[in-house]
Amino acid sequence: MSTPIALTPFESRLFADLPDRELGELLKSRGLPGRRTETWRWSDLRGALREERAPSEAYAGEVGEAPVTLDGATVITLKNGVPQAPQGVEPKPILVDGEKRGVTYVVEDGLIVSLYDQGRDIEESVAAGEELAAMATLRPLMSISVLPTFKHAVVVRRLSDGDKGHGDNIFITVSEGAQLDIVETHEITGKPFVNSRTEIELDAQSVCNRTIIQPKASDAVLVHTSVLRLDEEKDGVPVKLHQTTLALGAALARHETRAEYLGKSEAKIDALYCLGDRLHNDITTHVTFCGEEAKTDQLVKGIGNGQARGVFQGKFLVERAAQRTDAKMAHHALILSKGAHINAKPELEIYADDVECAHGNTVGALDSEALFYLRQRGLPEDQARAILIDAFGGEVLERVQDETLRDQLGALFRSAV
Amino acid sequence: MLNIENLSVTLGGNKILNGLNLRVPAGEVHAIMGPNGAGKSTLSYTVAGREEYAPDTGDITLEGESLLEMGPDERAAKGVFLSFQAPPAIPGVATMNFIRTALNAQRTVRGEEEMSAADFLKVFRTHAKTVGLSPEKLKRPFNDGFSGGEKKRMEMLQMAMFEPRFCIMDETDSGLDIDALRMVGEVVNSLRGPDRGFLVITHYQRLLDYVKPDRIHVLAGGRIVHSGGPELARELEESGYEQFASEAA
Repeated sequence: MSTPIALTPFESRLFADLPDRELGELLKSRGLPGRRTETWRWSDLRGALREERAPSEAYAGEVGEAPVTLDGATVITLKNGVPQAPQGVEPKPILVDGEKRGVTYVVEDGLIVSLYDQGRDIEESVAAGEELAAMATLRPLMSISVLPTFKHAVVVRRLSDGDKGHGDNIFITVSEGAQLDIVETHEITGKPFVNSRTEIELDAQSVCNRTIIQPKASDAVLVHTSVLRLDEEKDGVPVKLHQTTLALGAALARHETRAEYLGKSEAKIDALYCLGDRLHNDITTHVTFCGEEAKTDQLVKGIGNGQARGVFQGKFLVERAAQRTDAKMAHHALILSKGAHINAKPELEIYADDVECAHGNTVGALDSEALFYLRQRGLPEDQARAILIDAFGGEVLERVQDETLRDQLGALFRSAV
Repeated sequence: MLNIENLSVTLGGNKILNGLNLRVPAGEVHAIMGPNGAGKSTLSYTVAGREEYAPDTGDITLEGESLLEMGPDERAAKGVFLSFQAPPAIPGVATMNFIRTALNAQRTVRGEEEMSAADFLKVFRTHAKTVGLSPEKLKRPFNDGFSGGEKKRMEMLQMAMFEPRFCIMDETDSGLDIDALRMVGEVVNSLRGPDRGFLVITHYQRLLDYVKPDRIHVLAGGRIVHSGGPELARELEESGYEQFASEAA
């Protein structure tokens, strides 16, 4: 047992308010993850959150236009972590042993949204670095279910403001043979601390196209943990997941994805980050291959300008049973200024013997040969640079199949360069 | 037309060009031949204005106007075109869009009207056919997955599109088969005219069967050490550059 550490005013307040006493005690002995935590060493959350923060008050900002829209989508909004009731449908109470535990909405045929009064219990031990995800689990749960064989589009807008702290806890089920196209946004003004969690269960033969968008939030601290579980194939049809994260930086931002593949499935877990000024962004992914024949192709690209700090940590853990896994991990970053830093740690841990796993990682400046070439053809330097940067990041967005969404992501990305 | 005087360029502490003088009058095609490491590519980069190749001394003028203070894009707008020896692939950049953007950027600087999409497409298709690049290839990102020969065809396509005043062709023949060499000859000969000049850098005489030069210069040790008529190419092919090595020293 390590000696308890001196808690910061932020930690003292946060841990005292936790409804799970056991987790509270654990965190008091550990503190928040930060420089000294192996998986957080380039994202010093502890250092970024020292002053005491009360829970966030009600969202006071405007509800402007969403950064992207999705054709025919149901829009679900959370304001400072509080889910807003879906409009135009009547709630039905959720009763457990005659006691009301929340309300549920049949938003559309085959799409159900439930708002629970409480969060879930933490069943497993909390490993070092996973404390934020555990804390978010305790928050009142919102569940989104797509029933078997239905196809739905959903936009989840997380609106945040103020200078205090909040979080959310969303559980999504994509049932057998169903498809969910989902966009999740983090629209943050002010300087709050936001601890979000999305858990997604992908049942057999389901398809999920997921896009996470985080526009620039210069003064905010954001941790978004995604926990994904992909079921085995059924009748030869694999589960398909395509996740794309577009992150434009915050005072500290971490987008962490923990995925578990139970068997034959096809997944892309892509990300593009573009950072300027003193912004920070961390893309951390941890994929566990449990069953046979899972296929994953991951492309993460980053651009760092100014004094920005980018982080990529990718891990593929291939268990002994996960034969014929086919997994590719690539991270490529462009550094556009002397002051920008990119830290990358790609990791493969393989226990099966019949697998194809590869990783590639590059960090460098803009290709001077290509830049000269474009200028030789008559393009002014600024324009030539913009074209090359656009082409570099565009490779991630090109993989998004929905053309309208792809164009919107492209516009957001270009506005950040 | 192009006038190079006393040009010296140092790269990584080594003097690559050492007091080079060269004059290519309008309407003429001049070839530069020389051994490996003589400074042929350095010369092409320096004329085109690559930053790292800025000269220590000397001047380069086009129609009497010095190019030295101009960036590569300004030189391009003045009409300097370089056909690269090893053109880069630029994944993510749409080929036609890029060429049209570049063409119109040059036109804007020159105070000319931009070329409409329809006009561009018409000319583009014609030239693409001449150089032998299929529409499928041209739908791909710029040079993405192209062979060496296809990249050279793409250079010739752009040279035909831009109609530059002065063309520098840096080993355009390397990696090309006979049919492709003939195509290069076709492009150059269609552009040849009283207001246009060419500087053709090559190792081999065979390109010069298709592109007939007016003058041939031997570049060795960073200088032009010998000049002659078209017959010099065959002489060099037979006896090599050895005889000029002493002149370079």
